[in-house]
Amino acid sequence: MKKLILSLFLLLPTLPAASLTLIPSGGAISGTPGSTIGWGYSLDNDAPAYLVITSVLESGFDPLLGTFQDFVVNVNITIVGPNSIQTQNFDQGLQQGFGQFVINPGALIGAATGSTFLVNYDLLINDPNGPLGSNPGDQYGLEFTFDGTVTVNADSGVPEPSAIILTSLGLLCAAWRVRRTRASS
Amino acid sequence: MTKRLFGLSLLLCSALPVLAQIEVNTGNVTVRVLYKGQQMPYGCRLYFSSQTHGFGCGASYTGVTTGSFTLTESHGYPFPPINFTINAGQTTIVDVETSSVVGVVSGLVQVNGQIPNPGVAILSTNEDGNASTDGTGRFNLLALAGPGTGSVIGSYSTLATFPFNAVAGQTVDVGTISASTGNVTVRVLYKGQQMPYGCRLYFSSQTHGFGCGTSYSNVNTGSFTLTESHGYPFPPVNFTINAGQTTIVDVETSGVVGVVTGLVRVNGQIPNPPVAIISSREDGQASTDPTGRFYLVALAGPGTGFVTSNYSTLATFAFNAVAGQTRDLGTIGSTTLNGVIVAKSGSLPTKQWSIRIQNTGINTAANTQLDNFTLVQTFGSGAGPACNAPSVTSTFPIAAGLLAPGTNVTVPVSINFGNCAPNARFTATLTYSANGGSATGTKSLSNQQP
Repeated sequence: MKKLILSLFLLLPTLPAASLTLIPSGGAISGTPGSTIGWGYSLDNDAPAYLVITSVLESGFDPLLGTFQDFVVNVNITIVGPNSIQTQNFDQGLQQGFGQFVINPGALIGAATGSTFLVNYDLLINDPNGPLGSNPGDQYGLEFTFDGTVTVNADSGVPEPSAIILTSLGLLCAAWRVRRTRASS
Repeated sequence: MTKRLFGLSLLLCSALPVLAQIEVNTGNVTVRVLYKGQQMPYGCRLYFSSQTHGFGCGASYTGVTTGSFTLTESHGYPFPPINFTINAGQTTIVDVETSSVVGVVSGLVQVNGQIPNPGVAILSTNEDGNASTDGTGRFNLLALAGPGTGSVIGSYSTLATFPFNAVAGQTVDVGTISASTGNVTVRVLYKGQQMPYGCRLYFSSQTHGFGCGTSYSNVNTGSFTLTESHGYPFPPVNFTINAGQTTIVDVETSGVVGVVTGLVRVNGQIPNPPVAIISSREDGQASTDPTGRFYLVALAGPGTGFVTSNYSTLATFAFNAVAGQTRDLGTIGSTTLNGVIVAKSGSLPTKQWSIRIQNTGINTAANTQLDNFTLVQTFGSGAGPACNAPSVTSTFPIAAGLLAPGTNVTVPVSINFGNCAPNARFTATLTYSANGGSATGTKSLSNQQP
């Protein structure tokens, strides 16, 4: 009898083991009014199947503070192979990462808003890029839910690298001219 | 009939003499409380009573039943009882001379070293006399002979106390009584700004209650502690009021309070006039702006909000406020639906996909239905003209029935993928509705293979 119960237990289908975490961990990001900030992600697919993200919904961001756009569905096709981890940092230019948040120029300094993300995904037995297509063992309509928060900061006043380079060049030029003037006199 | 009328007349005639004898005799009475023959020149709180009436410092009654009465002092002070009589149609004046029992306490009040505006109240701890300062800061307080304590009362609290020893029939000067006062303002802030939205938080110190930003002037100086009156998790704030100064006490709430926002629609329209939004907890209140949006401050954690107009509740909604953050709840009062593909069966070219529609809101979704289902190819061999557009063969709408909050239903959709390859990928768009179309939703699901 015990063997029968154990056998039945082993026959039970295992739940898909996958997790999606935002980068930075905890999902808290910040930026100045008018700036664009975003999240990277780490997608850990422990399932013996291809994980395909099919939709992203956010609910909670204050529209007065800005707007969210996801990259994992609307911009890119996100597929993670069986037993694989895919990590992608946020890159606004390359439109990589989980998504971006454009902070409204008029957003108040210190304001903060948060949202709960609902990410739908499927687990497919066959490679979606392969020739076979869907499989009876596929699982559809699975979901991740997690929170992300945005805080509006004041401009820190730290000069950007390009500004530092230009200033340094200017100072070097000034020093060179002073030296030439002294040498000629 | 005539006999009956005659009998009634006889009965009335026999009763008339009796009715005439029911005559009530009344008179009037005035009790005057005097000090040295004059009606109490200063405030008086002595209280006398007879068998029928209570008499403050000079009270009159008319229409009092005639008879003999005794006036006594109600607090047991050493006034001998006074007998008096009320005669029919007359006014009886009862004089109570107090100078053998009462004296006058005189003094000068200074607040922050200055003569205060007239009208600062002076009270005795015994319920005997009260007074107020005149234009020079002086007062004359009637008091029962013997030791007592006087209090200088400001707008909201006791500013100073002083001992005295009143002497019957004499005036005793207690000299100058100094008091010090300051002003206090409590500001309830959210992220450093005075509560930008309606606020119902309530704080109190030992002497005053403070709503969302309250000021008091002429408050006695000293050290105080501000606490939240409803037991909400605000740490106590200590503050000091100094003589002649204004103390501003800031209570920053963003560690405890968050903001929830949402859109309100009444019969599908922006509410006009605006409607009120209140939280079930006594924390915040708001009203809709011209776009129908509201911002409600609320203590962190789950709560219930009410959309109200003219004292009636139009809608109820649940929220979960996060400290220091603003959370958008979407459109309030509407049923919220969410759809997703949960299964695919059959063999190409004909497949059956299962669509699950879930009621994720707090209101019931009646007559839920899948209104439409479309597929747009995004990848795979046969894309374009070589892959005929898949034909959704189901007839829409597909009824999904009544959905209680938190429940779901799955409906099938039949598709003929024609010559599309197995690895072709599509974006599926689901359109669903409930409650006769007042609740609608759309969901696009990418990377869908047949």
